[in-house]
Formats: sequence, structure tokens, C-alpha cells
Amino acid sequence: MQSELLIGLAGVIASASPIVIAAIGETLTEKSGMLNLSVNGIILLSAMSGFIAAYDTGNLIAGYLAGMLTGALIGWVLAFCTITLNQSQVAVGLVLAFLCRDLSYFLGNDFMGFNAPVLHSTPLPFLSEIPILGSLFFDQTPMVYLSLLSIPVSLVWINRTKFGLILRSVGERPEAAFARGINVNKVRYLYTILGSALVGLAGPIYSLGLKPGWKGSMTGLDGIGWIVLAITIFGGWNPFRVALGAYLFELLRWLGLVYQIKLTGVPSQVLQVAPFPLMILTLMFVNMKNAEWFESFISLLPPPIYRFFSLKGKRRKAAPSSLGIPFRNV
Amino acid sequence: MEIEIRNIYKSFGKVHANIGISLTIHAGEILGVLGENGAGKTTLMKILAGLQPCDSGEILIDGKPVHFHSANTALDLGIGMLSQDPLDFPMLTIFDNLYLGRRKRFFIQRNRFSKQVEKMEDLLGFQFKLNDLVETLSIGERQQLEILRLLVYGSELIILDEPTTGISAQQKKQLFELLKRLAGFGKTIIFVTHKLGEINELCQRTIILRQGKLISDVVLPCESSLLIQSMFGKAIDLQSPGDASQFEKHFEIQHLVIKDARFFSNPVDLNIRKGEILGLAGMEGSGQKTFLRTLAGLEKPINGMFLDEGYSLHWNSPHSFTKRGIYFMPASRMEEGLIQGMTLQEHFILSQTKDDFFVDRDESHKITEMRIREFTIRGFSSSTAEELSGGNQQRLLIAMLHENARLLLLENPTRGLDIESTNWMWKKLHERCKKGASILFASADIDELLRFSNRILVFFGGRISEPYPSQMLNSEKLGALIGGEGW
Repeated sequence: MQSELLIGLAGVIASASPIVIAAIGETLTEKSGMLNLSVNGIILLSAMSGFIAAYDTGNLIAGYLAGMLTGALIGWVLAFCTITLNQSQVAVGLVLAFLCRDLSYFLGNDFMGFNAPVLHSTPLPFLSEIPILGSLFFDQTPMVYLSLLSIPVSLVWINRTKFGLILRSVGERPEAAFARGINVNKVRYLYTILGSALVGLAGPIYSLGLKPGWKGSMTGLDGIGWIVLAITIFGGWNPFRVALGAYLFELLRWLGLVYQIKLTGVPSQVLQVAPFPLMILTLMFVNMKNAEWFESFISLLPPPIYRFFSLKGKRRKAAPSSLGIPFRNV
Repeated sequence: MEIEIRNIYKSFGKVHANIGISLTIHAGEILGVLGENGAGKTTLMKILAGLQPCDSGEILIDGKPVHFHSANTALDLGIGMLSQDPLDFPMLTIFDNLYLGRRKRFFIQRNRFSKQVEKMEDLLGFQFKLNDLVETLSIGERQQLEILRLLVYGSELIILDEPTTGISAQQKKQLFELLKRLAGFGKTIIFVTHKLGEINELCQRTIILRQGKLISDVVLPCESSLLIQSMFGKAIDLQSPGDASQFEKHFEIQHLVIKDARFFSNPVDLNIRKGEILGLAGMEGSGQKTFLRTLAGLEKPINGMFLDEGYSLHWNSPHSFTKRGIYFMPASRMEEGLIQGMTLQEHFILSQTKDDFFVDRDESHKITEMRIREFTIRGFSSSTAEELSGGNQQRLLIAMLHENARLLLLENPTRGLDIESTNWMWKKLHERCKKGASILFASADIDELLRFSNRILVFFGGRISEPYPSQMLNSEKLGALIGGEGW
């Protein structure tokens, strides 16, 4: 029983890895003030292209690189259309989301059902022998290690480096960043491409590992990208919270699967869909401290208690102020 | 460093902002740039700071021509500018705000940089908590922060665009001492303002701009009347103060307790009479803003009643406040007052309370043109709000206040306006008072408060005083009250 639970939880960490990487990529993009809505399309297209590249070359690394390249390319298209050509981020992003999805089905049609190499887990020496933690975190595939590593790295990058500071400034108040001599649109280009490349890495993580192979619209990846977008928002653009959201989502999905067997009276669809509303409810609860009504409710309490709860001044995880707003220097 | 500007031209569409301006600025000099609203002061400074390219002309530093590809080039060359509305990052911490733009190492050098900042802070007499968000500072404090930042960068030329508009008299005194000290170190200061007193107090030399042209270059001190004449092209007299008298009761505030970010106030009881002007004095961020916003229905008080001729206004429906003729004009023009990207005409359409389904373009165009003329706004009905200069944005805000207003709540209404505009604006406001409107206004300018208000409420650290009749006060007494003495 103990080990069954452990295997299940290790599976949750593994299956959340592409969502973690994609959501951190999207967080980086959105921190710069760019809204990339094409995540869902990028994941599908890169899953397809990564699969084909790995199939053709027989090399996994080529597959991952192809996925990232696909993502970067779509990111560049988005940046070019919105920054250089001044088009709407929302419109271009949505069009790309659907275009890339259908393109992946179309281009991948001839490769359906083929076998490409699959990434296997490589236990880390010594670390994997630690009880419980070892089998949870250190007996996984390299991509899972990468997803775990991406959390602290992105946190440090955003909060402790000058580049992270520049990134935040551009997303908060581009005109002020410009006045400090920062090339706002260049920064936005870079992070759109970088973020999309990370999203693009999520695709091959599925097609070369978690859900091996390419089965067109049967692959079951459609929809993941929208969850990534939601997690980015509910995670408050903080890589740590974003990753927590990803793990929570996969945990709920796993519970759904487990209880599907035990609760035979409940239609299986209910348990399959349950993670989505549950996820939203949980995140709403987490974010409640930001709500106006919560603030006014606690203001009724005596001042010392009020001050304890009040988050004002220590303001939380608001969206980058200029998210989705184009910057043009007059 | 010595800076020479040669033949600068700049226009925005039909508006000529700078017409052939040439000028030399010497090291260690405090140069005043004087001009009425929309004279082209800000544009010229933005060009000099590399924030805007000029159409034609040259800038030379120590005799060498320079080209600013971005603000970065200007910063590298030691030119830093403090803009009219502080260009900083409200959602970032003070530390991040100071650090941003100093890019040397990969990791943020937290401790070392903090020490550097603290040293500079000691020199200037500032005290910032580096981990607080900039959002929690007042506009005056944010300006200090910007000066601190430029000095930490090592700027040699510091351009200050109307720095005294949002700060208290004491902060202003500190600022001037600071600037003089900096000039003593050999830094060059350019001080843009429309306030003559400040020019005479601070600068050794001033240039005067009018309608985009450099009208004169004067060595100070100089007679104010002469300066006024070249600023406006005509002489202007200051008007006599309004007198207090017993008017009819209008609005009544009972036991109002307001909640600011930092404090709860003491309960306030106040009668506002018809045609009365009440001034709210105090340092920036002492609660005046919250007080005004509460009376406008925009923020809920902790406790208290607000009666309009016996009718109790309720904070659950902010709309009912405007319905009863209560209007609020915020100080942060672009953030709360005006809508970016919308034209003047659209602003006027929005401010009308007509219930028609369709917008009457011709009619609203007519109204807009009329208001532009009446309020002498430098712009067109098709200009967007952000295209206007700071002073003209202020005029637009006032022009938008509804004709039938019964209570006007104004936050720093003359911030950024020159003498002529200030006088003219108060003339307009007095007209409103004669029609029976009451005015509550917050201001950082002691003279303005004493000159125009019938009674004055003083705000200090969460405390709100009883209303003082303004005849009972003079500038020293009021200054002391603002500083927290004599309560």
C-alpha cells in the first residue's frame, strides 16, 4: 500500500513535468508583458515535430531540440506579428493556437502509429536511495529532473538577477523601463521566444515519454495548453506557485483515476472532469486573500487582528501591470 | 560638463513644440527653464535626456556632438531626467527601482548596492525602507527616490521637470538645499518650472520659453514682473483672496472615520456650506486623498454619515454620489483622471450624463471645440489625452467637471499649472461657487490654501483637525500645523 501510494505520487510528479516547464515558460513570457495564448497549439505542434525528429534520427535529444525550435519559431511569429506589425496579442495568439493544433494533425498524419525512441528513467546515484524522497524525486527521467530544476532556476532568475529585474520592469511599466535605457521590445521578443521554446519542450516530453507516439487527435494532448495558461494566472506569475498548481492538477487527475475503480457508482466522466472545477475552486480559495470582500470582512475585526491578516502594502501576486499592452515609443 | 544645444526643432503633427532653440549650459550651474503650460519645456528636456528624438538640431557635450540612440546613451553620458509624473515602478520594491538600469553583474549585488544607497541617503538626508513597494510612497517621496537614483547612477546633469508640484513646503526647502549642494559639487542642474518664486530662489540664470521659442535668457535675480512679461507676453495681476462668510448649510459630515493604508483617522464632524471653499492642508499622503475619495463615494469609511441636505448618502452605490452632483478630480492625471488613447471629444462625451443611446457627433464636437476655447486647452478635439502637456491635461480635467456640480472634490487642482492658469482656474471655480457649489480641495501650496479657502482642515499623521477659519492662520502658523506642531 505504502509503495503503491509512492508510485502513484512519483507518477504525479512525472506527469506534471511538462506542465511545470510549459507554465514556467509562459510565466516568463507574461512577466515581460506579452500574452502568449498559443500555448495549446505549440504543445501539440512540438509534440508532433519532436516525435518526427526523434523517429527520423533515432535520437531523443534531436526530438527535444526540434520541439523547442518549433516553440521558438511560433514565439517569434507571435512577437513579430504583435510587436513589429502592431497586431493584437489576443487575436494572433488565438489564431496561432488553433492553427498550430490543426497543423500538427495535418503534418503528423503520415507518422501516426510509428515508434520512436522513448525516454526512460535514470535513477540518480545515492540520491535515489533516500527513503521516500528518493523514489519520489530521484528515480525519474532526466526531463523530470529538468522540470524540478527549472523551478529554483527561474525563481532566482526572476528575483535575483539583473536580467530578471529588467524582465519585471518591462512587464510592469515599459515606458519607465525605456527611460532607463532598456530596449523594451527587444526584451519582449527574447522572452516570447524563450518562453515559447520552453512550452515547445513540453510537447516532446509527452510524445517521447509520458504518452509515447503520435496518434493525431487521439494523442490526448489537446486542452493541456489551456490548463497551462490557467495555472500561470492562478499561480500569480510566481514559478513556485505555478509549479504547485501543476502538481495539484496532476494529483487531482490521478485521484480521479484511482477512485474511478473504487467508486463504481459514479459515472467515470464525473471523475475525469472533476479535476478541472476542483482545481479552479482550490485556486480561488488560495487567492481569496486578494479579494475585496475578504479585506472588508477582516476590517471589521479589531485592529491588531486586522493588521495581522491585512496584506495591503505587502501586495501579493498581481498580474504584470502591462500584460497584453503593447509598447510604442512616441 | 558643458552642454550646448543648437537649433532644435520638434513638432507633433500640427503642434510645433520647439522652434529653433539654441542654448549653452555650464558645469555647476543651476539653470531655470521658465514658461507657461505647453510652452515646450518638457519636450526640450525630453530631447536633451534622449527620451525623444528631435526633428533637427544638434546637441554637443564638452564641444563634441552626441547622438542619443536611447535614454541609455544619455544616462551613460551622465544626463538624467526626473519627469513630471515620476517614471518609476509602483509594483516593484524601492531597492529594485534604484537598482534597475545599473547593469554590471549577473546577480543583483544586494548588500553592496544597499550600502552604496545608504551612503548616498545619508548625504541627502533621505530614509527609505528598501524593501517596501514604491506604491506605498507619496508622489513627493517618489520624486526624492528618483533624484537619489540619478545620483547613484552618477549623473552629472540632472534635469528636473516641475519637481515641486506635488511636494510639501518643507520637502521643497530640502530639495532646494540639496540642489544647491549638488551644484557646489559641480553637477549641472536644469530646473523646469512655471513658478517665478522658485526660479529667483534657486537659479542663477533662466531661459524663458513661449510657444516653442526661446524668448529670453536672463541672469538672476530679476524683477518678477519682467519675467512674467516675457513668459506670457503681457502683464498679469494677482487677484484678491476670497472672503469667508456665513452661508447656508449644504452638506453635513457626522463622525466620519476614514481608513488610509497606514491609519484610521479620528472621527470628523463638519458642515459644508453653500459656496464655501474648504482647503485640506497637510503633507502628501496624510489622508487628504482618502478623505476626498471617501466623500466622493469611491472608498468606504470605517464609520460615519454623509448627509446631503438631510439625505444620507450610502457608500454601497458610488453612482448615487455623482447623481447628487458630487464630483471628484484626482491628482494623478493619467492614472485616474483621463483615459489614455481617447480623444478630447470622447472624454467630453463620456463626462456628459445624457441618456441617449447614440452619440451625437456634431453636437459633441461643438461642445468640445467650445470647451477647448473656453478653457484655452492647447490641443484639438481629435488629440488624445496623452498628447497634451501636463498643464493642459489638468485644464481638460477641470473642463470636464460637470456644470451642475454641487460639491467639487479636487485633489491638487493646480498642480502643474502656471500662475496665469492658476488664477484663471480659480476664477472659474469661484464662478461655480457663486452658483452655489461647494469646493473641497487638497493642496501642497500653503499660499494657495490661505488665499482661496474660507476654512482649512489640517491633516497630520492620521489626525484631522477642526476647521480653522483661514483669517486666523498665516503661512507660518499653517506650516507649523502641517508639520505636526501646535495641535
